[in-house]
This record gives sequence, structure tokens and C-alpha cells, in this order.
Amino acid sequence: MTIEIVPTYSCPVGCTYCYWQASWNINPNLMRKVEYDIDLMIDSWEKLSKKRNNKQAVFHGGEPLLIPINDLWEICNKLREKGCTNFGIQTSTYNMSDEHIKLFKAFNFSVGISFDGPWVKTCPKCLIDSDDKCPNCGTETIELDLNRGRGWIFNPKMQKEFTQKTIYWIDRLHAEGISVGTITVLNRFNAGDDLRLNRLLKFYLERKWLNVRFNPVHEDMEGLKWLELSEDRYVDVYLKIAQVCLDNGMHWEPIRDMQNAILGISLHSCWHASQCDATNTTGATFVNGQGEYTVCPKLSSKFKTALQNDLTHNPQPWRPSILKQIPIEYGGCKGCRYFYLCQGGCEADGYEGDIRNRTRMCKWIYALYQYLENRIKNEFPSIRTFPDLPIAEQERRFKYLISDSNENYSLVKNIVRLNERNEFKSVEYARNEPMRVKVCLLSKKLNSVA
Amino acid sequence: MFTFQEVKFSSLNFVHGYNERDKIYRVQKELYQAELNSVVNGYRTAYVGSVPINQFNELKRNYSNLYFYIIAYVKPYSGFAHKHDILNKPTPDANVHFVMTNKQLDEQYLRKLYQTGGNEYHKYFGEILGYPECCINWFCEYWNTNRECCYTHYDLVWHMNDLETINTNKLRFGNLIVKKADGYPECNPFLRYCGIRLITYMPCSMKCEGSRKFGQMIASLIDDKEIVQYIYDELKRPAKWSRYHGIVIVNTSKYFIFNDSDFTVDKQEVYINGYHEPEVKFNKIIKDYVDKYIIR
Repeated sequence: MTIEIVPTYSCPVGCTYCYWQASWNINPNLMRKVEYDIDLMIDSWEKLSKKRNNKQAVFHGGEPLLIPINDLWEICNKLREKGCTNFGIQTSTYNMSDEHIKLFKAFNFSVGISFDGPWVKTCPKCLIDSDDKCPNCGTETIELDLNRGRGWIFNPKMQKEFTQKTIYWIDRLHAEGISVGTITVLNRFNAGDDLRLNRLLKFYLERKWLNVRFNPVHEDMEGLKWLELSEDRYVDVYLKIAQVCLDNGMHWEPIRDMQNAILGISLHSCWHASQCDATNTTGATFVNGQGEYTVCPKLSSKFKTALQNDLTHNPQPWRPSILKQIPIEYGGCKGCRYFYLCQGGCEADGYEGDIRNRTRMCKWIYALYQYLENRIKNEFPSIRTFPDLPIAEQERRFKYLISDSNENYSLVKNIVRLNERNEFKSVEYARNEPMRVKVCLLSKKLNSVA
Repeated sequence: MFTFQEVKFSSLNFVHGYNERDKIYRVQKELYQAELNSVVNGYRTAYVGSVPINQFNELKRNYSNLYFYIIAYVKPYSGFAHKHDILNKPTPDANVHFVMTNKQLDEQYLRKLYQTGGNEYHKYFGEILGYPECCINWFCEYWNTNRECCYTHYDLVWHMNDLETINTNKLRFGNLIVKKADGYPECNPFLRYCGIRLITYMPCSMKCEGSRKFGQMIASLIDDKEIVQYIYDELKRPAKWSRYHGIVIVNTSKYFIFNDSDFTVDKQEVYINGYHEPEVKFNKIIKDYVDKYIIR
């Protein structure tokens, strides 16, 4: 689905739960190396782009802004010459400058920022920030270090300053008219209790324009496992996020993506509908500084090494084919209502770090699908959702769901799409802006096919 | 229990810094030739294989002094096939399942044995293929027999003799059982999924003398000595074989093999040639800080 360019594995921030950790431990040079060959990277991108029919390039890391700005210009210009139309970057904002803003504007970048929430003193009752007492109720404020997991964990002062800078860049990028989003990793620091979670959501509610993705932390390394939330806590956290998201019309992922999946429109989150093969991770393929293809580092970390991605290998969905036969109590997915939307989850998230188990995110993914489906059905009682289809039909349609094929719309051809202003919108509109899609039933007759 | 339908797959992925696909392809090619030569040179009576019809005709032309017996037409497949889908009538893309021998055999008897299967078939074919008696008997005991640990029994490495249990542990789903295996490189069957091997059958043990001799015989028939050295290097390399939920993952420091296997509820692992899990230590500076300052 995505083509990521990793000019360097090096990163001065070093998020505590970064999935490159295992690779760094095996090969510490990876962490320090800022070596790349622009032509090799571009050649590899071009080959992959043609093979996948994907014109996208997302700069990833390490920290991609460690690359000198002139080199970034050169890489982007060459990518554009080779047909790249869709530029993106995932950054901590380390090193970000006005020069980068010019670059992002010139190539119409989508900027993703790794950010877990503000570092503020907050009133536990009113969620009002104040360095002293709450101006509203007079309660003593509490310092909340929501972004603590994002690097420099042993230097809180530095981390606090960095958090302020990151917020500045989030707001600045938006003010400059650049598409900006954040990836927030839910962990003990920002979602460990309700106060932290509420303050985090307040931050995002104040920035309705921001595209937010909430990812769970998945950590297999001893000494870091405590960063993960418990399975039950993840259920509570994601249900709360879903409720706030839908009640306030926010564009938060994975909520909207999963909502679209329930309706059979599309599904783009690789990490809960994985079709990756351990030899060829189609969900995300990385091109490193030497132009080598690398499987998703999340998967590599499970094997405690850095694996190549073999483009010549035709990915086979053997993992889901096996998991769907194995009963829940043995670590599989047999009989799960949402199996064809989840496929056992990301292979790198398997219980006990084993790709042969279903995802350990199972509990909240199931709860969230159930919540979203119930909510849709409460609003439109006659509607048929994707899991209502016969199994064989779900199996057939899944591949259209995760591709950009128009075929997936045949499922919802009897559902009228309305946007928030109640205007009828075309299928194409729905595809391009799935988060705005609302569905309603035109008539029972129209819904009969599903 | 529940029914489990096999899912066939096989893939090989290299760690960064290694790319030996071409070499492994050469290994497969050389081994195939060595197997044929072992019959030509009289080291054993027969070779059994499945190839497309045109390849079969070519073989017959190239080895016109040998005897060829077609025992079935089967659906084409790649990789290992523990059972064949037999076709009633040959189709253009069918594989020919055949026996190539250096002495005349009873074709009807070969066909009959193949169709009925069972230990009589295993024993007779094992003998003409030149396999050691101990391995034939061991194979007859374990092949596709109903045992508690697996649903089917066509990947027998877990049942090899001389595997020593070194660890057992309770997992969230099932148990982890770890065994270790040491022995002759010629008898190492753990890398066979990607074609690196010197014996073409399952040995009863990695310490089996008969299998060692068989492996040495095959090695002596490989012309490319660089390939022989490569095979030996790989077979001596520490490796881990891990089977769970019908998926086997074999890894060495160079590559990972993913292959289908028997379904098991427990995770079964074999550490080969002194394999140790790589240690991934959490950065000590971070750990000390976390332990000291962060409330969990």
C-alpha cells in the first residue's frame, strides 16, 4: 500500500517504543549511519512504483529531516521526474525549518508528525491548563507528560521543550496550508488513565483540522512491555476515542477507516487487515539509503534482525488462511464475525511476538468493530453491513476492499452516500474523501441485494 | 478437536547483506543431477521424481540405457509434495510421477504399491532408493500415524531420534517445547524446505551413520566443489526450526524460511548445531532511568 523511503535509519529522538529498536540493538551502526545514494534510492523507488502501480513516496526514518535540505530537494525533484505524484513524510519535526516549509509546499507534501500529546500542567477536574491552580475551580494542577515516550526519555527538560516545538510546527504547518497529521502511539504516558486520555483528546478536539491516527504500542522487548496498555484498557481507550470522534465529527483513524470497512467501502489500515507475507510486506515496503528493499521494520523486529523484501516473491495470504481455521482458544480466529475485515491483524502484532498467532490487538479491534457496527445499525436499522454478507462473499470482496478497485462499491451501490451537508455525492467523491461519507438507506428495496 | 485443511506455501527471505538465491538454485540443480548420477553409477537402484511430460521425455532420451516406469500422472506442484493429486487422465500440464532404475523392475507391482501405499510401499521404495534400513523402519513407524501432538504427520523432523528436550514452557496458547539437535551435517534435514540438503529423505537421526554415508555419496557426485562446500557450510550453521499452527519457520543468521507443516497446538522448536537466540537488550541507560524515575 505505501512506499516508504528511508534515507537514514539514524534518529536523534529515539522513541522508546520505536520498532527499529531491535535492529539497532543487533547493529548499532544502523542508528548512527546517515549514508545514502540518491540515484540508487530513486531507481529502486521507480522499480517498486511500477510494480505496485503506486506513485507515492513517503519519507520515513530514522528521522528524514536529518538529510540536508538540498539533498531533499534533489530527491524530490528526481522522484517527480520519475512520476511521483504523492509526497509524504513522517517526522518528529527535529531539524524542521522554514526551508522545509518551502519544500513541502512545492511538492504538496502530506506531513505526518510523530506526537503523543502535549506536556502540560492541567486541572484534573476541568482539564484547564495552568502553571498554578485551576482558574476555574482552584484545584491544584497536575503535570501530564503525555509525550514522554517520544524519545529523550532520560532527559525530561529536553523532551518538554521538544514537545512545545512540535506543537508549534503542527500549528505552523496548518497555518501555512500544508496537509498535516499526527501519529499518536497510545501508551502508558498518554492513555494510561482517563485524565491523560481526556487531556490528549482535548488537544485534538481543539484542532479539528488535524488528521490523527491513534496506533497502539506493541512491544516485545523485556523492559519495555510496561509501555503497552492492558488488553482491557485498550478496549476502553479505543471505544472512548471512537465515541468522541463520531460525536464531534472528527477525522480520526482508525475509527473512520474501520467505519468505512464495516460499510464495505474501503480499508486502508495495513495493521489490522494485513495481507503481508513475511517475505514481501505489501502493506508497507521500505527503500533504504542504499536502494535496498526492506520488509516492514515492525515485522523485522519480531525476528530480531533486518529482513529484505523480495519483490519477486508473490505474496501469499497463508497466515489468514491458517488463522481462520484455528479456534479462538488456540490463538486463531475461527468463527470471528469480523475476520474478513481484520484477517487476524498485523502479523507483527501476534500474541507473544509470534506471527503465527492472531494479533494481540484482537480484543479492542473486535470491540471497536462491534461498536461501530452497532452505531450504524442503530441509526439505520435496515442496513446490511459487510459482516452481514455470506462468508464466501466476504472472502471474495475483501481484496476489493483493500485495493482501490471500484468493485468494492458494488456492495454499497444500494446505499446513498450523503456528505455532511446532505448533498448527494458520487462514488468517486466517496472514495477520495471517505471520512466525510455518511450513509443512509434510501429504501428497503434498494438494500435488498446485500 | 477441529478439522484443519492444509495451506501450501513456501518462501525464503534473506537478512540484509546476504543474497544467495542464485546459489541455492544452483544447489538444487546440482543435487538433482547428483541424484540421477547415483543411479547411473550404480550406487543405488532407483530414482523417483515428478516432472512435466516434456522433461520426462528428455530424461528418457538422455538416459536411454536406464529403465523408466510411469507410475502415475499427477497435478503439477512446486516444492515438496507429501501426497500427490493423481489424475485419471494425463492433462497437458500434468507431471509424470516416475521411477528411473538401472535394472528391470515389475512395473505393475510398482504401480500397485504406489496406489495402495502403506508400509509395504515405503519399505520397497525405500530399499530401491538406497535409504538405510533404520531410516525406512523409523519412517514407517511415524509417517502419517495418528499421534497426539500433530494433526497430520508428513513433516517428521520433530520425531527424529536423539533430539534432546532442553526447555518447556507454558504459552498463552499451548506449550513451548524446545529440543536440540546435533550430529552429522550430511544428516541435517532442517533446511530441506529451501533445497539445501545432502540426503533426499528424512533420516531417523542426525547421528545416523547410514544417512551420513548416503549424504557423502551424493556429495561425491556433485561436480561443482564450491557448491559442495556451500552446502556443508550451511548444514553446519546454527539454525532454529520452529513449528506452530501449521507453519514452520527455519532461520539461520542468513535467512528465514517460511513453509507449511503439520498443524500443532503446541509450539515445537529445535535448536540445531548449537543455535542460541540472539540477545536483544534494552538500552541500559534508558532502563536505569525508567526504573528510577518513571512510575509504572
